[in-house]
Formats: sequence, structure tokens, C-alpha cells
Amino acid sequence: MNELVASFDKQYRGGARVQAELRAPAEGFSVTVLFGPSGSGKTTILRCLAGLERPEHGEIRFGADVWFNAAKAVNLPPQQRGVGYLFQQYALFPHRNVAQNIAYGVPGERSEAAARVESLIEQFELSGLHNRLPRELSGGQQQRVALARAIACRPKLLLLDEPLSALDHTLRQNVRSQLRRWLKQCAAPTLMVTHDRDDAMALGDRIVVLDQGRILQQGPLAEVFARPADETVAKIVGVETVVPGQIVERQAGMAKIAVNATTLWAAADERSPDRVLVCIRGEDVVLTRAAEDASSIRNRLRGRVVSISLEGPVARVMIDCGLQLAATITRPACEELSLQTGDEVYALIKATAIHVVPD
Amino acid sequence: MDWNAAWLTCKLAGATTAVLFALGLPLAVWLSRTRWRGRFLIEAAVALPLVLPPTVLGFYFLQFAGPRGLIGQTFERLTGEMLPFSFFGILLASIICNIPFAVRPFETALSAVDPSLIEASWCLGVSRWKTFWSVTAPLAWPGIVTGLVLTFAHTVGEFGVVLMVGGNIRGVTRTLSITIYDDVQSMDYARANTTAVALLLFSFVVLGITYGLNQGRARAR
Repeated sequence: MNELVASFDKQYRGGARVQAELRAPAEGFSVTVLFGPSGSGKTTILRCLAGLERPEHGEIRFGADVWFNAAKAVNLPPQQRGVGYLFQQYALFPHRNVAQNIAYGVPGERSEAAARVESLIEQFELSGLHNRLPRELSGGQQQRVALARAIACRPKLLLLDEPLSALDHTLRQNVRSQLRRWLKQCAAPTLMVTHDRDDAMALGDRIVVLDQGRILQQGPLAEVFARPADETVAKIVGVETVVPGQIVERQAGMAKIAVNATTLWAAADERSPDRVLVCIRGEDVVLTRAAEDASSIRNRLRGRVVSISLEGPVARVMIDCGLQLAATITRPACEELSLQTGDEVYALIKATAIHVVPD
Repeated sequence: MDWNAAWLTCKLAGATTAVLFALGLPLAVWLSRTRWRGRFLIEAAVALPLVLPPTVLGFYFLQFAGPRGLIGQTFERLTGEMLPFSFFGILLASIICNIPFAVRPFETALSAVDPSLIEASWCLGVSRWKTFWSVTAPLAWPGIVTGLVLTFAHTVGEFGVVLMVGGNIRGVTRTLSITIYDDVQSMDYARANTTAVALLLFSFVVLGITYGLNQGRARAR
């Protein structure tokens, strides 16, 4: 299996430092998300991969090709790496129209290149806009032109820097679903930078979590979201509840954990130490009014609603049940339960949904 | 008006502009992109002719380019001629005097080009050279034209350095601005006035075109 293997150090004069140990598929369709708060070094990694920034140490290999090797003084210029780069603000050439922007850099015969441009214009729903200048386009159209231009040269690797951040909220929702389809048609491995959790979940296959210039964890998206390696990753990927606890009893892959005044059952590794952090994602918490008895759910906590905040289609409910627990439920569900601050509720959490990391 | 001097002035201004386009543009490109810490020193050196009296430049030019100076001796060995009081002499001096008038507008215009456009071009496989001519230059051209026009116009109006370095030799170093000085010295005010009016109109038209160009460009954005 061909892989992109990047292992390098980039030191900025101001003192910021980015260290990358990164692996991603180098052939076939896949989307690897570089995820982390702003300033964590995501864009720097992308720029180093494109050859726009030169790391001080390390190596970047794409399949059998060496793109960068500090020891051997190899540093291929961007022109020779064959990457497609989508810039955050798109970087469309303001003095060239849509067709000229897409055609820019397409090699080969004139007629062949023109046919390629034509098919991209159709694929990206830009028909009739050939002669428009970038400033005469809407944000969504600009984004499609930029993407068409990036894939026009059939890149071996696509690098997308915050592809959705310049779009407004509603458009973002629509484009998010289309973007993955477009990337699939392009069939090139893609690395995408985002700090938006919804973008990451909707678009990614694999995720690389960064913070302060370091890669903290990488792997299949679902795995990283469900099993963050430590507290920082948990916070970054958005596991809402992270509390310290003490394992007081173990039986058959299960652990009984004392958290403040309550106890929780969680699936836990035999080898995990006794002092742990308990991670619970908001959407894994079920709220009910009545204490049902027979169910498969191991954890049933009685508590009081501390606060309810509405965020778009979801409601984030904070419950005090011996620990501060965050639950994310849909807005209709919240209304059906007619939840009010101060109400008594039961929070149900499956033991397998509780993730335990060493403290 | 002295048509001989007018032709010489045009030749000097044209040559100065051409040389500063060829040499000043690469310097401006480098200044606009470099992250080198010592850049400010080069920028200060580029701006020096703006503040130095032409006599200072002329004095040092004579020191270095004169028969005892290194540059002067080398030039003499190569061509058998002296640099001071020759057309090449005033051309060289005029190039040095005009560096800021060319390089500063070039640099301002080039720095204003969004670097991500240039990087986008590189990532699309287009060489640095071709990127400059198909992305950077088309976006910076009002500034580049401004620099060229200012250089030309400023050379036409140059007086101090040309007089110090070139003296006043008809057909060799006597430019229009020097003929005005001559005419005033010999009390021929009418003739001085003709040349002065011509230079005034020329300068105004040239600056008018430059500012008009930049204003039109700003509105189009």
C-alpha cells in the first residue's frame, strides 16, 4: 500500500514550532482530516507537504518519491510535487475569468486542455459562467472554481485548507455534503485542514488531531472520536464530559469507577491504571423523566438540570448527578420532555459509551 | 529650445529607464518577498538618493569613477575613455540617482500582490519565471509603469549630478535642464522660458497620466 509518510520539524523564527509524524494513504480516494484548534499548526503541515514551506529536519515521502529530505538536501519545489492546493480564501487569479482560472496550469494540447476545462465546468455546475471574473461570483461559485482549478491538473494529492470556512452557515451545510462527492470523483487522496468538528465528521475517513504544533493522535475517524488517547484529544474532538475517577472494582473487562459521589460502569482495559479520566460524549447520554427498570443500560444516574442551551437543532443540557454531565439531545426531544432548569431527570449511559483514559 | 540637448536628454532618460527596469525589477521582487532580517539596510540604501544632495552623490561618483578611482580606472582600461564628462558617466550617475524612483514603486506594487496567488500558481505546476509574468506582473503593472514613468521624468529633470559628473559639453552631457541654466547665465530669458515651459508641461502630463492610471485601476477593483 502506497503511503504518504511525513516526519518533520518546522521551526519559525518567532519561536512557534510544528512537529509532524504523519501517515496517510497515497493512492485511491480517502479523506484525512487535520483537526485542531487554530494555531495548532495544521496549515503549516499542509504548506510543508506542498513545498511552500521548508522544514528544518526530517523527511517527506509520497509512495516511492522523496519530496523532502533534510539530511540529503532534497526539497522538491511545489511545481514538481503534483499536489492540488485549495487555499482558504481560494486565491483565484482576479485578472482571469472562470475558464482561464481553471485552464491555468493544465498541460497538453490546447484542444485537449479545453475539453478538460469544459468537463470540469460542467461537473462543478459552473456552466454559463465562463467569462465571469472571480469578483463577479458568489462565495459558493468561487469555491467551486478553486476546487475545479486544483483538480484540473489531476494531482496525486489534494490539500484543502479550511475548504468551507469562507462560506456562510447555510451554504456550508449544502456544500459539506457535495464536497465529499466531488472529492470521490477526483479519486485522489485528500488531506483537509479544519477546526470544525461537523466538517471533520461529515468529510473525513481518517483524522489527525493536533494541538500546539504536535500531533496527538491519528487513526480512523470513528475510533479517534470514540477513544481519544488523552484528555487534550478528548477536549479537542469534543467529548463534552471529562472527569477524573478512581477504578474501585474490575470484572470481565468492566470497571466500576467512583466519580465524586456516584459510581459508573465502563468498559475498561485490564491494563488501565486505577486513576483515570472518564470521557463521555454528549450524544451518548439519554435523558428520561421516569426511572425505567429493565434495560440494558448499565448507568442510570439521577440528577437535576443545571442549564439548557439551545444550539441550532440541538439542545445541550447540563445535569448535576454527582458529576457535571453534558447531554446533547435534539430540540424536539427537549421540548417533549418539557425540560426546565431544576427538573429532576435520569441520565442513561451505556457502559460501552464511556471511554476511560489514564489520568 | 536646444534640440540637440532635447535629444540627448531623451536618450539619457530612456537608457536610465531601460536599465532600471532590467535591474530594479529583480531587486524589487527580491525586496518584496525576502524574509531576511537585514532587508531594512538594503531598503535604506535604495532610498538614499531621495535625501542626499545631488552634489554628495556627484562628489563620491567623481571619487570612484574618476581617473584615480577603481571604477574609473577599470572603465578606462576597457574602453580607453574616461567616465566623467562622458555620456556613460552621466548615465551611470543618473541610474544611481534614480534607483528609488524605480525600485520603490515596483516594490510597493509587488508587495501588494497576494502571495497566495503566486503560491497557487506554483502548486499548479507553473514555473517561478512564468508565474511572475502571468500573475505577479499583470497585477502589479500600474506600479511598475509608475516607477518607469517617474524614472524617465526625474531623469529629464535631473540637474545637479549631471552638472557635477558630466560638466556641460554640447552633444555629450548638456541636457535640457542644463541649457536652462546656461541661458539664464547668459541672460537669454526668452530661450530659458521656452525650455522651462516645455519641461513643465511634459512633467505635468506625465504625472497626470500616472495618477490617472492608478486611480482608474483603484476604481476597477
